[in-house]
Amino acid sequence: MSSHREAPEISKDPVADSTDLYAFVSPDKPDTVAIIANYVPLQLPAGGPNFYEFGDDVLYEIHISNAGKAEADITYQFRFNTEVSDPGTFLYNTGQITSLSSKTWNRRQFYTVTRIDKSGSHVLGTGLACPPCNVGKRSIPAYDTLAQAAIGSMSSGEKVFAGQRAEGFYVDLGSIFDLGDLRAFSPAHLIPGPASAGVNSTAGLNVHSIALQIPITRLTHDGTMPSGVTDPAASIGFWTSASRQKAKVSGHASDKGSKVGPYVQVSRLGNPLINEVIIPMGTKDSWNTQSPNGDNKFLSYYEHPGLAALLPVLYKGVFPNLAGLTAARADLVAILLTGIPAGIVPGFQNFTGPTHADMLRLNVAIPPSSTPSIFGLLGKDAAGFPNGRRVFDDVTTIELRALAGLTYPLVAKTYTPDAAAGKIYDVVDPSTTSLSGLGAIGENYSTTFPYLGTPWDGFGNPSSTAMPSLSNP
Amino acid sequence: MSKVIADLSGFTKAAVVLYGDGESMENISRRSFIQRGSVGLAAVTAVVVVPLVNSASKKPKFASNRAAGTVEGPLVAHIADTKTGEIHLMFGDKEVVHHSTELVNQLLNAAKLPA
Repeated sequence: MSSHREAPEISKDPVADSTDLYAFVSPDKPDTVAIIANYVPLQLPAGGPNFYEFGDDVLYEIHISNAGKAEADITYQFRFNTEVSDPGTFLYNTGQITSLSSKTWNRRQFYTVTRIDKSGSHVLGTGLACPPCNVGKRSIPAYDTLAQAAIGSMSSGEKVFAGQRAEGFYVDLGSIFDLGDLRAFSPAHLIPGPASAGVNSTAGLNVHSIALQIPITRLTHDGTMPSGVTDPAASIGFWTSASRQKAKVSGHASDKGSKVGPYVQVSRLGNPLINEVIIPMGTKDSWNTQSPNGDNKFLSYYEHPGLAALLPVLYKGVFPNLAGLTAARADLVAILLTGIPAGIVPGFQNFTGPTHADMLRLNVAIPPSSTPSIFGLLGKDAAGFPNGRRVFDDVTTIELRALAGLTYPLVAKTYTPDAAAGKIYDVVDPSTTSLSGLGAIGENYSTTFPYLGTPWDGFGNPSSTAMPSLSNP
Repeated sequence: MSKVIADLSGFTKAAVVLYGDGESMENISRRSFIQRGSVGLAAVTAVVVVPLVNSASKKPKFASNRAAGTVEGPLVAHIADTKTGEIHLMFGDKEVVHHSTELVNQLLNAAKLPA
């Protein structure tokens, strides 16, 4: 969850909390782009009796900007509705679930997907079934069969999926939010501790994914394949949002209450970790309600990020050059708010125009890498973050290193990053750059749509940790 | 100045839109209307919109032809600041902004709140 529980209000509304957005040229179908928008963070697999689901009262959207104005030129909307077969039982399922239409599956969710573009609003599919949450082997003896059956193919060319998947974002939440500690570098911290390996806080957790696989020609402004990497039409911006109706009146007893009014945005996400660590506490809720094309008002937080100022304080003597870097961080503005224009990184650009906007920017003319690096562009892999975002990209380490000054030479050739800027990492030892070296984390992914792995089941994963301990009794 | 598309000048027309069932005002007491309302009074900044007596008449009449379209389902009125006279009316997935300090005051009276 690169943006999980990242703002005070949305942290109390997990169903509308956008946690991650991925966009990448499909490695197995390179004439398509895969987009995955995740919601409902930090799901324990043993989530019964009411397992996780999308909100029937939430409007989920994936927005696409292809005309260089940071506006939604195409929007895919998802609306869900839940059906309960037997309200008289407390059970999610009263027997084994062996198909998406099993009569023993008591609480099912369906959805409608609509595409809005310059030609109007088009319902691409309705009554599409979500797979069940992965309860356990007795309830669901063959989960992958159900998940595969839940992949829908639209006559317009899109593939679509909505349902529970394994959490793909890996991050050591326990250390990073404990005064910015990075476990491997704890001895150098202001409050030192022993060095240890990073821990993936999301191991064994699930998330709800809305996934699309879209032909590239359905994404570009003129409906054709871009001519090449330098074609401005090749760079496309993506963001996801969740909205709720403006007024809610709570019910009582048999009065179910009301939800009325226009939909207002309560959550949004483009690049990872923006509202998490770039936008300050007092602005996070407001940021979530706004469209990205107004993000110029947040420019100062990118130009002088708080975390970049904290690193030299927390790790005294480790970041002397960063401590002296007081100029506006034009590199971060380019990476996160406009895209990198041509001529900065040889053979690469993902510039979507001068409007400052938090969008995930993908150059769809750059093919998938045959030997991907989890460090993306920093690892000399132009197919990875910040060129879109693949499910396995180590975005936390990439952004930490960027904030620490590693990318500043892109805009200031005379700046020398601190040695530590290229060494810090969060969870995965940097000697591991390949997907195959991710170990257990790699089990969270699939090589085919929807690219996030089978969700962890509740019976096999009954708790977040079998042996809890207290570090500060 | 009302921002709505439909003409909401005059309480009777507004009440017709809000009512949604064409009953005449003469048959409805204020108490019964509040009871049948599908939204509740929550705070001074959020009130039920009820059809109120027009200051020019003790027996307001609804137009026999209501505004185009039938409002079905709940209606919520939100007044964030009772001094401005701005009333946000929400129904379905729509919102209409109406301005009337007189209507706000009548609502405050109905809610037995200070003006």
